[in-house]
Amino acid sequence: MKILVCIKEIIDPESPLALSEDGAVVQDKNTSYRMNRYDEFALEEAVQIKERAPGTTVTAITVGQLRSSEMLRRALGKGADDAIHIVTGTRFLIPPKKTARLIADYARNKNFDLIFTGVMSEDGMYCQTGPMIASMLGIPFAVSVISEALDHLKGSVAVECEIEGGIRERAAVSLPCLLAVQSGINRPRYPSLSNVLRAKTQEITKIVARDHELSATGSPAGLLGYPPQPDRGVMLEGSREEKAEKLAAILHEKGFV
Amino acid sequence: MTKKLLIVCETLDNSLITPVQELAAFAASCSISSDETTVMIAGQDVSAAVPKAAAAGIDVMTVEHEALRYYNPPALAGSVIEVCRRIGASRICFSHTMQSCAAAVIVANELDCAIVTGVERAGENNGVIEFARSAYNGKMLEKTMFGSGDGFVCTVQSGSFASDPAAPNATGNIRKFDYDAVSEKFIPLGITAADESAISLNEADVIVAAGRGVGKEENLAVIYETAKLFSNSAVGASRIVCDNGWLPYGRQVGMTGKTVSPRLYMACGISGAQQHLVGMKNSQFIVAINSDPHANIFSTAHVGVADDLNLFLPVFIEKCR
Repeated sequence: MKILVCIKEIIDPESPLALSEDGAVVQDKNTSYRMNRYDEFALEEAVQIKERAPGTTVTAITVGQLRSSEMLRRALGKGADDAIHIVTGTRFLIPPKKTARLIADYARNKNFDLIFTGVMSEDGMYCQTGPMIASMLGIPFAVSVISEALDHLKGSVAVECEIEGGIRERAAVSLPCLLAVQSGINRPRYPSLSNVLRAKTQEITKIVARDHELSATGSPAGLLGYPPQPDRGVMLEGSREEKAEKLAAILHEKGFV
Repeated sequence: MTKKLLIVCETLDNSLITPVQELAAFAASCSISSDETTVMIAGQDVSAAVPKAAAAGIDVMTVEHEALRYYNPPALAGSVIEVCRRIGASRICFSHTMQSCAAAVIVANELDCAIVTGVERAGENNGVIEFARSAYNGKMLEKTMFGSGDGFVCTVQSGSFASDPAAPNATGNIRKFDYDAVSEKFIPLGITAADESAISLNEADVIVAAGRGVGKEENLAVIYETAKLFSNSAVGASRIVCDNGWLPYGRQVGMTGKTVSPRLYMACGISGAQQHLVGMKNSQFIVAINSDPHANIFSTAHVGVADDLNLFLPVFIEKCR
């Protein structure tokens, strides 16, 4: 069985975030990065399938800046067999449709049985890349997957998808297919020492994306700006004691306590 | 030439899910008139949904098929594409749920048109339509512009557009559309209901919700202690708390979890990711406690306290007693 896992490097949401004058996200020595959390679950799900079905290979792929190779090494450390890096130079925010096109073009004719993605990225929150890859490849998919069970005989996957209000939908999806997984589907592992040592020297396949494959032409160009400051809300000032007293007074006045 | 808009409504087990009045309000906010709009309702049997989807005289197109009883993104997308061809719509609007969004992506790819997901604000100026959506956990706003002749697919974040209470609840022409090209590659089998705790969240007057800032499972005790201060209260959580197994998923507030609007919502150690905010921002009074003074949750809160909840709440509980 051949599995492809799509992972993305994002700016850590805890990291400071600012825009330069031309509206680009500032990346400097204070910027920290990590793997998109939803993709950690996607990778873990693929590695668990590999452990159950010997002979399975897990390939991790990313579309990202030069530095994203380090994240791919982490994916190797967590159990991926090989890694593909579609390099975007210094370009950081790629429209989801472009990312999907690059990955779909790579995956076409490579006979992957399963493609995993996270349900969304924490930075863009588009929820587009996974279903877009599947749609471009003409394969079925499921989103918000919270459990999956492969049925090799039937050639399908039984999935549970989380929908609104905590309700789950059960569905059968034919292989090959793409699953966009929801967080909580598993417990992502830490990289193992033996895998980390292997990953250090393992070659990562690099594919350099051409400029026209990355520019926003044909996709809506999203312009980033700061949101307007909402006028509601007060921040309580003073010592911890004073703040606690003020909050208790406010809630008392409103009749809650 | 005016561009026609199709508003796509979904049903789940024959119940209308999509807040169609909100989507009609969205269309009005970018100056798309009801004459240029059609509401499409898809499901197994939409007879109960049609009167609920009536919005200010907008024409309705119904699509009924066994395969549409539960969410079925490819079948929904296929029927949307055919309905668009029939009525000549080149602008398509869905509600921003995981499943509708998946269908929207298929439609955008098949029709090769631009897609914007999670629209929260919309406006129109001299024929230019502007959409805005949140990115980076609400720290950034991303804007996309469309010219008067452009087609697009968009998904609208629920709770972002207030439906007009003065709008007449009237149905336009109702037409039926036959669709039968359902793929066997994705087969919905049924749904599993949410557990009981999700229901109690909806009935609570006060919700004290725990986020990542709780730090560890043992620290939930102070959240429960805080909840005990109030009558008819419940404990809720952000997604990561449920992912860590500290509370069941039935306690999750936000996208794919519960949407709540209690009298008081106390967000404790919750950073304010957009997926959480959509589930609680319509609460009547919001208090946020977070150690990061720049946390996005403070933009939604009426009262904010920048402090470590594990140190602050015990003092607060003392003061309330």
